[in-house]
Formats: sequence, structure tokens, C-alpha cells
Amino acid sequence: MKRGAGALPDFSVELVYALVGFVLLLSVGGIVYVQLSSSSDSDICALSVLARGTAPASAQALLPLKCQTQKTCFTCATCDTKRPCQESFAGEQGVRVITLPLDSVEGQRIIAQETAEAYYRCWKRMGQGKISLFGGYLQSRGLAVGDSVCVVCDRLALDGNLDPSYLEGLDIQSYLRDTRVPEHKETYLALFTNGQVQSYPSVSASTYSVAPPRVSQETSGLTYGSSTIGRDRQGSIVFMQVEAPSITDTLTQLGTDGLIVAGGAFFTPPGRAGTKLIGMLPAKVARAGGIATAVGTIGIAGLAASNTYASHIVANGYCGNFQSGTAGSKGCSVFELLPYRVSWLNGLCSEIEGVP
Amino acid sequence: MARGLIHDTLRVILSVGGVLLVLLLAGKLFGVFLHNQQTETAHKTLMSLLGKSERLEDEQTASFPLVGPCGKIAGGPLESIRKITGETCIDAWYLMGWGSDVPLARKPERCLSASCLCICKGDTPEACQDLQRGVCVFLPQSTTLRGLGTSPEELERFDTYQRAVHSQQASAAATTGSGAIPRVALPPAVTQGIRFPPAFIELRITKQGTALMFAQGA
Repeated sequence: MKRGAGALPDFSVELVYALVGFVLLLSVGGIVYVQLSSSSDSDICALSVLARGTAPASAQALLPLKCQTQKTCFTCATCDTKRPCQESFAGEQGVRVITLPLDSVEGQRIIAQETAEAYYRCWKRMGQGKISLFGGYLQSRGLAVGDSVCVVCDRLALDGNLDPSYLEGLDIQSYLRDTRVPEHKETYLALFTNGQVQSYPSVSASTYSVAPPRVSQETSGLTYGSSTIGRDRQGSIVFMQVEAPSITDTLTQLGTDGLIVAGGAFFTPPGRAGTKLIGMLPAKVARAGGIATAVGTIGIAGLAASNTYASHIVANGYCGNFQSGTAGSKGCSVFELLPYRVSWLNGLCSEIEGVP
Repeated sequence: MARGLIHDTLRVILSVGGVLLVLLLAGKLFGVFLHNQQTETAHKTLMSLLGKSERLEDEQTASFPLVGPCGKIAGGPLESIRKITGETCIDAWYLMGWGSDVPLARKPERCLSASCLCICKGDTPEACQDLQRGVCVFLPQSTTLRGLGTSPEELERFDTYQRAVHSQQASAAATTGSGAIPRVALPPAVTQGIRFPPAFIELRITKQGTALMFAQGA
């Protein structure tokens, strides 16, 4: 009687534990699923940046960056409200339209504010430029030369019919330098540069100041004017990162790989069988094999050193404008406001990640 | 005995259920990152192109930066091949398209007799026919395309081939009295496509009547 009474509670308790665990797991799973399904583009991007940032450098490229470019159109009350920023975003989805007030000074303030906020969003989403995002196995071992990789965070366009007075005196640099970031003590510029820079060297005031498409002129064989769309007043906020590992790091990584292979050869059954087979080879063959391995190792180390040096030159080419001394040769993360034109974009970016 | 059996069975069911659920969640989470990234880029690029081409008026040109899918297996052994051979992308994706004037035998079956614009992993109609390797959208029925897919020269060559087939059929019917179809080799399809590099390209689309002309570069 006692034994029977004791067995039932034991079983019941175990069952209750299991059921509670199952329900908890189901709830957590449900919450994660709902969260992921209803996540905004921005959240998904931030999540993918985090996933990459926490992955080993050699595996980073296997995780795609799910960052969708945000599109903003500045239009006016008197512009064509049915087709705003037609010159830039014709046929594109997900464009946020901001109608500027008639007062051009206030309009300029809104343009500068939105641009600064887009900068801030990009800076935040991309891990404040502190996360290494574009690593690769070969690059970390010095077996490939690094390149500049970019994410186009935002595209900001002015409607073709927007009065040029909205651009006269538009000073985004000053806004970034003088305006405090909401909920922060620092200005945008101080926040982006850790307070190390007092003036922004690379934001061009002319980014938006391209001649509007309705002005008729001939350039490079293309016709500007009413028969052309695409040559527009459009800027883009681009995050660029280029990295060059140090020679010590690359050789250490290569050495670690070598040790792993050697360990595999000695401590796993197939490896041990292979080692035994090698031991059975004639002395001459084994010696030749040893020499070939040594030459191969020296060759790989030489290649790694050469590629690392080349990566430093590439990094310095991209980062030298933004960093002083030799700091640029180690690589950098840059947030730039560029005209949304192939020549400008490809001048900074060898590869594009995300979905522009 | 029976209670023990029920106990064990429940344990197994719950354990298997739990493991399956964990695997499902892990898969879902991983899928968020990995699911068809290239196809998704291809689809978004294509929708943007479709939108821009639909808004073009006659004799109008649109010129804009464009990024397409580029299969990079950075970090894997194939990356070394890419670097050594100078290939910019492991998977070569192309912008392709076939107008309504292109015969069915010369375009992907999924385009039917309509006009379609595709981004495919490969520059052949077969690549675009494969749903895993290509994304296509339909253009207005009468649209013809230039600079993509089948060139006018290729169309002419195909026309010559068809005329040869018909004349051989006719002569075979006259000599043998039967309707036997003679064997004439179909020349291999030569298609034009714009290959996507890892960075931006400048794409130019001009509309002339029902024709859409595609060109790369400013």
C-alpha cells in the first residue's frame, strides 16, 4: 500500500515537471517566433549585425547581413504629392515621405535633422563602428587581401520640384557639430568620434546640391532634363569597413590551424591510422615528404606575410583620409554621406552587403 | 507495470517533442539569417527595376545605381579560387529578359509567350527556368527587350533555322509522301545578360514605344 502510494506521487511530480518544462519551452518558442515575425527591418538588421559581431572572424561571412536600406524623400507642399521624389525612388517600395514647410529655413533644419538622425541610426545599427563585421577565414590567415565592404544604411532624396532655396546655406556639418543627440549629452559629432574630432572632414555640403534634373544640360553623353530620371539630388549614408590583421595575428592563426591539424593526426583514429601508414613509408620518401612540408609551410607563411602587407596598403588607401599617422593601415570603420552615384559609391566600396 | 510503461512512453514523447521544438526554433532562427539571401536580393532588385520601367514614358531614360545578388562564400575554400582567378563572385548572377517577340524555344518556359525580366544564377534560359536559380517578373504583354536575353541577330538566326526546318519538312513530304520530321540541329542559344559585380553598376533603361532598352554604364 505504501509502495503504491509512493510510486504515484513520484511519477506525478516527474510528469508535472516535464509538462511545465514543455509548456515553458513552447511559450519561449512562441514568443521568439512572434518577435521574429513582427520584427522591423531595423531590428532584424541589428540582430544580424550582433550575430556577425559575435561570430568568429572566419565564420562571419557565412552569416548574411539582413540590412535593408531605408529611403527618405523630402518633398514640398506645392510639389507633386502623388509622385514624390519620382527622380530618385520611382517604382521603389517603402519610401518615407517628409513634406517640408513653406519656410525654407525651417525646411533646411528638418533636412539637417533627418540626415543627422539617419547617421545616428546607421551608427547605432552597425555597432557604433566598433564591431568587426566583414571578416573571412582566408583574410584572418593572411591568405587573401582585404577589401572595403559597405552597407548603404539610408538613401535621402530631395524632390526634383523642391525649390533650390531649401539648399542654400544647408549646413549639415554644423548641425552634426553643434546639435546634441536626443537622450545623449554629446553632440552627434562628439558621439560618433568619441569626442576626438572637432570638425567633420568628409561630409560634403554639395551632396544634395547637384543640379536638379529639370535643368537641361548635356553631361557625358547623357541628357539631363525632363526626358531623364535618375540624375537626382540624392544622398546616401554609407557604412564602410576595411580591416587588415597584424602579421603576428595572421601567423598565430596559421600556427593554431597547423596545431589543430597535427592534433587531429595524432589523436583521432583516422589520423592515427594515417600516421601509421606514413611511418611505414621508406626513409627517403618520408624525408622528401618532410622537406616538402617544411617548404610548403614557409611558402604559406610568406604568402600570409605578403597578403597582410597588401591588406595594410589597401586599408591605408581607404582609411588614410580619416586617420592620422599609421593608424589607417590597420583598417577603419567609416560613416559617410555620399551622393548616391556609382562613381562615388564604388570609389569607397569594393563590395556591398545588405539590400540597397 | 502498465503505469511504468505509460511513464516511460510519456517521457519519450515529451523528450522527443522538446528536442523537435528546440530544433524547429533553432532552424527558424537560423533561417532568418540564411534563407535565400541571394534570391531575396534578386527579387528586391527586380521589383525595383520593374517599378522604374513601368513609370518610364516614351523616349524617356532612367539611369540609376543598382546592386544585384553576388554569391560570395567568403571564409570558405572557394574564396581562394575567387581571389586567385580574379572572379568577383562565386555565383554569377545575371540580369536577363525576353520580350514577346522571342520564340518559346528561346526563352524560359515560365515566361510563356509573355515578356519577362529575370535575375538568374547563370546566363541561359535554362538557368532562369529553374525556380531555385532564378527570379522572374512579367512585363506588359507587348514589350520587347533590347540589350538583354535574345539579341536581334540571334532572333534572325533562329528564324533562319525555322525556315530550314519547314523547307526540309516540305521536301520530305514531297519525296516520301509521309510527314516525317527531318532532324535539324537547333543552334545553341546565345543570350545577353548583365552580370552583377559585388559593387554597384549603373543601369540605363530607355523606353522607345513598346521596346525597353537596357545598357550598363553611364
